[in-house]
Amino acid sequence: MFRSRLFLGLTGCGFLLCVALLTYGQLRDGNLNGKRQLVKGLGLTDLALFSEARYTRHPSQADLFSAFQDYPAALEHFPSGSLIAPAPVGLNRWISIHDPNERRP
Amino acid sequence: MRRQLKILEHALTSLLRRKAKNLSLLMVYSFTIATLGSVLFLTHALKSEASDSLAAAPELVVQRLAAGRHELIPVAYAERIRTLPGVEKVTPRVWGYYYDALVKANFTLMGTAGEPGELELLAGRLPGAPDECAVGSGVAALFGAEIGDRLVLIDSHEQNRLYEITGLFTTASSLLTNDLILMPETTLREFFAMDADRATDLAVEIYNQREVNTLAKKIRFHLPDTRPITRSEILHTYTTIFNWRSGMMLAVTLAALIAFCILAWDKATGISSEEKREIGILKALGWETADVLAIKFWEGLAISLTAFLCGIVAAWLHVFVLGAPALVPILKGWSVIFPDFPLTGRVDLLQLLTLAFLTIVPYLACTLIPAWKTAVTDPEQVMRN
Amino acid sequence: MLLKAENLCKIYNRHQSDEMTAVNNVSLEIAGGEVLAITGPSGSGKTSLLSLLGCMSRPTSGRLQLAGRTVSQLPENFLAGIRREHFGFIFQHFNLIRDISVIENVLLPLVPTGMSMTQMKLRGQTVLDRLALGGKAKVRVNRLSGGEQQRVAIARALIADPQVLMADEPTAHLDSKLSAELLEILSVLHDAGKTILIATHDPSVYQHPLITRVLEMSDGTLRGAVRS
Repeated sequence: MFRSRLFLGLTGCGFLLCVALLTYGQLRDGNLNGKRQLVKGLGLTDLALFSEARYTRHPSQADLFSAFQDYPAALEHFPSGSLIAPAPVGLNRWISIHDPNERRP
Repeated sequence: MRRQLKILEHALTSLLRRKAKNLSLLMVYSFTIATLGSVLFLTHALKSEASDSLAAAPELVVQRLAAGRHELIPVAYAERIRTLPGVEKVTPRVWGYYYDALVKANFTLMGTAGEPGELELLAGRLPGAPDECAVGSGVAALFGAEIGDRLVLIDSHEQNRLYEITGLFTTASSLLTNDLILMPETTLREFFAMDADRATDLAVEIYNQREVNTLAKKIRFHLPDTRPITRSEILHTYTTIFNWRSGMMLAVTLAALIAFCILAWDKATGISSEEKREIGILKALGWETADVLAIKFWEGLAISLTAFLCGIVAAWLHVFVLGAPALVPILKGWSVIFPDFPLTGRVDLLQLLTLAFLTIVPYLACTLIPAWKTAVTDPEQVMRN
Repeated sequence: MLLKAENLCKIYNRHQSDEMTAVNNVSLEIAGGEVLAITGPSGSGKTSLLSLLGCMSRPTSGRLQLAGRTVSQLPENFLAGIRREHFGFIFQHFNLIRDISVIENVLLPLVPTGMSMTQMKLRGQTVLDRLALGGKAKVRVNRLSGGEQQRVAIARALIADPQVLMADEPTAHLDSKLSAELLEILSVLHDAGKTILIATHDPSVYQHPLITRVLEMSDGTLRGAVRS
């Protein structure tokens, strides 16, 4: 039953290799302290991934206008725009209706 | 157990009899898994990188908007915000973009107000004197520059400015600093011709994290032309970014899934007459339906599990060792400088298990169902047909 | 009585335009140790009858008893076990799996049992030695001659030590010399107490002294001494 034992052995090794690779990745800190030091010290807010335009370079800081400065339904200029989902709902994207008599903060 | 081992032995013998066909099937299947795995690993690693590193981002960044556009913010706004309860510190930030026509690349220029010092991921030191700068690895690579070299930039008055490079951000930090040029704040103000009473935005530190949203609302109320951006919003941008359910990543994922469906469909549309004949022979020799299905199960599992393991290992090596060279062109877009991707090997186990479930189970079903139809038929009928 | 068939019918493609009655109301009794030859022209229903008697297919109607137990309407899973324990089948075209070795073919009936691989290989080698194939255990079946393939088929049929051996046109692909060798092997098996059923239209087989009874099949019906 050489083949079945070989298959089970190789598959077992494959599993262990996968587990080892996955665990190795999880355990490595990847210079996390250094990166946080940089982010805190320099006040960074975005990854330096796409340097095509300001709204792709700093997607978390981009105003609503720059991506649609030609007109709101303009086709995406940059390929990386197709990778970045539309801005998430946040504090500044809510439309809130206030009772005029409500006490403001 | 012994019985299953014997059946497995027979299943493997059966697979080896059609070596060429099964090997090409294995390769296509592994390639599909490797593609899907690469997309999942890359997107998850980038998202983890962002959420881990940017957890130290400013708690609040306050911008000013005018006519929907980002405008420079008066430094006086910082004083107003400082008076709000709960605010620990407000730091005006000076930064902006610079387009170099020679290399056709955009850089991010940032001003530092602190003391020249050292950082773990900075070779050399931070700039202190007015004509000093520190640059990211992408910038250095583009100009072929090293510490001690001089960087030539053209300021807002179209004048050439020379800056001595005192620090180089290491490759390990390139996801954060690749296109960065750091210089003293006063130097940057001169460079951009920015008035001393203006800043790009304000970084706000808060005593109590739980008051962030409340403070943001207060800032909005007192300074209606501002736009506070919380750290959670920054992090949320990156948890939704590279969503493999949208955009180009979806296109790549879909292409791989469609390839897989074609593979599975080919199996599901029926077994060959040779395979039917073999099932008939086994039934005639006294194999029960369950035994025949066990063979098919082991055959399917041998292929799908082997392909899955090979695909995942290949995906891991592709993304975390080689730096995802097949996916980088998709991500790079039109960026002239692009980081080297020294990603930490973080993997979302749930995504991996989902991928395993969505590929192995359908493949097994596509192998077993056609075989089952033959296996429950009288062997004489099978061999007659 | 080892095998008893009562009014067996087998209709293929029932209720369809190409409906065909292969076995029509056949009753038959077979005692242990008999060597029964079923003759008839091609298409007379010999193979179908053999399949019914060997539990390889279920009758459309009628009853089959094996050692006093009615087996004809048992589910397929039970029939598989009965086939493995009681019957050894030698097919007309051998039905060997071509790209595997002689020993792997011979051991196929034992794979789903609880027997260890060592025991299986020992038994397989013994059976092959008896049929003068001991030295060809690891040879691929598609490299053997017709006669050798026939003997592999016999070895496979014997490996589980069945009570009843069924052979469908066993001499169809053999010359006279090999046919004679085959009949010698069947004689030895008969002497060892096996019950043998042969479907054949070859006179050298059904006229051989080995045969204890001959039945004639025509258009799905049986003629001759149906009782042992």
